[in-house]
Amino acid sequence: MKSIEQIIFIDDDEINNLISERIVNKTIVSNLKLSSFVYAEEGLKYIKSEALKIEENKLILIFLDINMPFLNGWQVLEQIEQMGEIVHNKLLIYMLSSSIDPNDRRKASENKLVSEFIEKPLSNSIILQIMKNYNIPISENKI
Amino acid sequence: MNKEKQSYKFLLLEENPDYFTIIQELLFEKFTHPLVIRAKFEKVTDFLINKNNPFDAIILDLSLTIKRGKEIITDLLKIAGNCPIIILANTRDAKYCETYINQGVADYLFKEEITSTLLLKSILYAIKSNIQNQKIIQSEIELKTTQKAAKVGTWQTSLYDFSSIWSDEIYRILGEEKKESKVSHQHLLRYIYPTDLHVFKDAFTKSLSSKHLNVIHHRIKDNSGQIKFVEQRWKIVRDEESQPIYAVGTFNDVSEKKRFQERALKIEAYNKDILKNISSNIAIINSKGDIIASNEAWNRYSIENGEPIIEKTGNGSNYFKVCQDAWNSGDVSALKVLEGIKKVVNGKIPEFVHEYPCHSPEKKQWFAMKALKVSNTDKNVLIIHQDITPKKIVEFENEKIAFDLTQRNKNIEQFSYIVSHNLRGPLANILAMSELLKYDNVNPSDMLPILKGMSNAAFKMDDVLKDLNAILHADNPSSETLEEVYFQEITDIISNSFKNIIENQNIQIQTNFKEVESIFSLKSYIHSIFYNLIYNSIQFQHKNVTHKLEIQSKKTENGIQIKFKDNGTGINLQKNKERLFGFNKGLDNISEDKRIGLYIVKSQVEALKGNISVKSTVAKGTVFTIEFKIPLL
Repeated sequence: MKSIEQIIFIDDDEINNLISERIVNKTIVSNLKLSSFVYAEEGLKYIKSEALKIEENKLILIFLDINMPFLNGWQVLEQIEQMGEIVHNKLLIYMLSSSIDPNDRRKASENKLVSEFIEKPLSNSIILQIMKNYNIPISENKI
Repeated sequence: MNKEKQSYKFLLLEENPDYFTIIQELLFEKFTHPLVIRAKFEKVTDFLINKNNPFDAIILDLSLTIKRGKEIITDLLKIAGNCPIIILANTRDAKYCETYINQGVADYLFKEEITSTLLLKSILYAIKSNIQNQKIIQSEIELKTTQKAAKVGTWQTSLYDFSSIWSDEIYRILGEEKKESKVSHQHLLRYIYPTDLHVFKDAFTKSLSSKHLNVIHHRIKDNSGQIKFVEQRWKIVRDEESQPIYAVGTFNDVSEKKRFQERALKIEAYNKDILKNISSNIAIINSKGDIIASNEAWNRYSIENGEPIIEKTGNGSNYFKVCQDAWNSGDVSALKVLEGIKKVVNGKIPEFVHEYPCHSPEKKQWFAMKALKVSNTDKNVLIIHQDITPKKIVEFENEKIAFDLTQRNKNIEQFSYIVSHNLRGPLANILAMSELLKYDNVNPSDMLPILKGMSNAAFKMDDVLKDLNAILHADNPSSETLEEVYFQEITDIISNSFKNIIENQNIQIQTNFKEVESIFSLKSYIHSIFYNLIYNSIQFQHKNVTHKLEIQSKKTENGIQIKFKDNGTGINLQKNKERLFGFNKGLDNISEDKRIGLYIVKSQVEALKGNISVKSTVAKGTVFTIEFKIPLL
């Protein structure tokens, strides 16, 4: 079974990235590597290099915002699409957006690369659920 | 004298055989092998009954008394048909012999003086004059036929005793049996329609002292009771002392002609009435553009209205020139109209239609001009200006409803987008941070950033709510009507609301609305467009440079153009052009509320069927160009 090796947040809203990182830190015990990107392009570069570096049975968990400057979430997905299967197999992508527009939800469910659409804010219950599926130890003083 | 070559056939009625021989010899002297048949008068019928073998002449020896001779001649004329009769008379009394001529014989000779030459001359004369008589008879028959076809009869009335001779056709027109004898002038009066009687009587009396042709029209009631229209023409014939002797004239049944004329007149009158009473302005121009006919509405409009496209457009003026003049004086559609009409004239298009507003200070009006060929063979073109105001008003109402609905839809879209992204974003942050605060082991050092973040998010939400409010207020066109919006007035109001910023930061707003000072539009929309573009410009000031914003209006071919030009920081259009007016996040260094502002501008310009474009150079400035079509909708 594959396990999560690190988590990447891509959102132009810095506060959101900060909050998300904290929630993850409070929820899990193991020291997963966390990275946040305000500019999607930088995030993409990082994803590409990391995906090629990590072991075969490891995964990178990505939380991707939809509405961002220059490259929005959908455009980021298009670029990942072009990176090929070797990269795809190492990614676990969740859309994390403030949007309550059903169209965004539908679009996410139609995209093969996306596991799920999550409405902001990221809650510890969602983190717990994901981690459970990938055998990541959970913090004792969780809710 | 040469012998006559032709072989003639003669019937010689002679009792005396000796004298028969003498005459026969005389005939043989001058004619080649003449056939001379002798008959007794009692037997003459047997010879003449065979019509296939007629004689060239009948020679009758009349040795009897004149009284007896007359009877014989009468009997003979009845059976002789066309054959001429020559009398050989015992007497030398020419006066008696003339009576034979009056009876109908061709010629006579005195027996005592007879020679072969005289006989030859007489026979030839008789035959020749007979042929002429035949011709006269023939032409009389033809005349009668012509009279019948033309329904023209002829009459002659003696002014001594007022007796009349009528041709057959008059009898036919009156529906009366033909009489051989003369009729009285009074007889005709019986047929004349009672109320027309004085017309005829007066005219006839008057004509007696006139030298000219007299013409009258009157009605008659024929024997079957049918009313007919008659045209009479006559002239008075006078003797050497200018005394009227008789009147001759024609009697013409013109009922059919009259009916036809009346119908034609009626149709013409109807057509005139239709043209006169129709409310559309109608004129006909020839291929050179000269107005050759126009209806009353057209002329009335020309007089009442000062509209350049229609003024001075009475009969005789040139419509092409009118259009040309209108174009020269600034009517932008006049050239299009001129070209359209010329295309119809040249047969390139079957018709040309152009709708245009023509507002007077009292009321708003719209017209449709239609140009079409009068007929396929005619080069002339019908120009119709029709008042389509009611139709336009309905159209506007429909468009307004459609416009309102579209706008409402857009508002809902905008609203859901703002709620979904701009409002939900900061709210999500507040929710997340409040979640963090629930943990027991929050480091005091973590508290401050969380509270700061929450505060920022709350302020952001407040900004978005203000924008949302502005959008919902501005986008309420249903409660508004179109009005004349003056650009300077709008600019002044907005400048005043930014008074502090403009004064503190020394911002210059220069306007030039000389070419177009106003627009017939929705005031709140124009206000919002100006507000957002002015606000946007102020936000993008270049540091260390006095910020200048120039706003000016211009006339274009289809409407008007408004330009907002500044010397601000500019926008990198290569990166951002597509998303500049979009509602997506994605414009570098432009904060959310400004993006909403440009989105509002774009949606409102488009709602007014306008167009907005942008040109910009980084560090040099930005130009927003708005174009509206006139008429607005």
